[in-house]
Amino acid sequence: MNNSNKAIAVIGEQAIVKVFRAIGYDCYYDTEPEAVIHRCQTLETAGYKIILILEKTAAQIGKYLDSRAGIPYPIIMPIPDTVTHSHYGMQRLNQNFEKAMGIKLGGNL
Amino acid sequence: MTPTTTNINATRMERLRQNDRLKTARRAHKLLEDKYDEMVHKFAELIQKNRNLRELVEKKLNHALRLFVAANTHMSTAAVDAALSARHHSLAFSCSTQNIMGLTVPHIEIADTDHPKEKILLTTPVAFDESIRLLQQLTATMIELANIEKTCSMLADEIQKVRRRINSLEYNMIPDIQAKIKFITMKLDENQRETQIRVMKIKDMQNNAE
Repeated sequence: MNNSNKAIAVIGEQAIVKVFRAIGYDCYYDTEPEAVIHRCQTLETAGYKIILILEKTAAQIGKYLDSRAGIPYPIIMPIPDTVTHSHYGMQRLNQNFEKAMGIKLGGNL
Repeated sequence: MTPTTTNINATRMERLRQNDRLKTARRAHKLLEDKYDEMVHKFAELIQKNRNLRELVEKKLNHALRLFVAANTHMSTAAVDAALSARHHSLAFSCSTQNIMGLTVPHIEIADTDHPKEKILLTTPVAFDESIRLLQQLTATMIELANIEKTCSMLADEIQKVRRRINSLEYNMIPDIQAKIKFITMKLDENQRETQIRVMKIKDMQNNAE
């Protein structure tokens, strides 16, 4: 299966995610959780392989992200926000570690 | 009589059946333990890489986005759109899947990692150019992070499932079967003793009668 970079989409505030157009990603300016979920579903149907979502928005659709965890594609990944750096991506990484190892991660790996 | 032994037919046939079940359960337990060990080993390797990549991407991407937002305030929407269109660059990569211990995970291969020569526009602020340069450098790393993060997430789910199965076999199914076998053995022994005593008594009665 060959794809170009067109297979990547970014969802978030227009002022922040617009810049991804310069590296060939498709940008969608949804910020409300319902709209973001709907957009993700549309993009999944359209065959997008990677969907990047700003952490602030991703944190609000955690359940949806969990529901898509069992399938290889699309990969939905939270990316940092410029304003509220919530470390949601790192939190999910720590959750995965806890799930696999059965212990909560205190410090560095 | 424990709840596991209430509805058992205490026969040799049933004991043979339970012995077979125990053998299968023990073999499954060993196989699952091997699978679990291998998956944990793979996960430990990947999670370290995942963490390092995420820290790098978060740091650089945050910086790039801040630069872009700062530059955006000095430019009109039309100018930003025009500048972004002028710099359009795509990175080729191929998406497929790979198998890790029976688990299908994504596999992304980046075809070329060369960055194109930058087109410098005299109308754009330095921060704007810098943000795009950083993003172009980060593209391959972001794709790699997405791949590893998804693999880690899927592996974590699978490890949890396998651990539950192992625990279920180890603490529920195997002791249950062992209890059943023990119960049947005891019951059969008891029956044998009863028969033996009955035979002895009959012989004794016959001897007395003679």
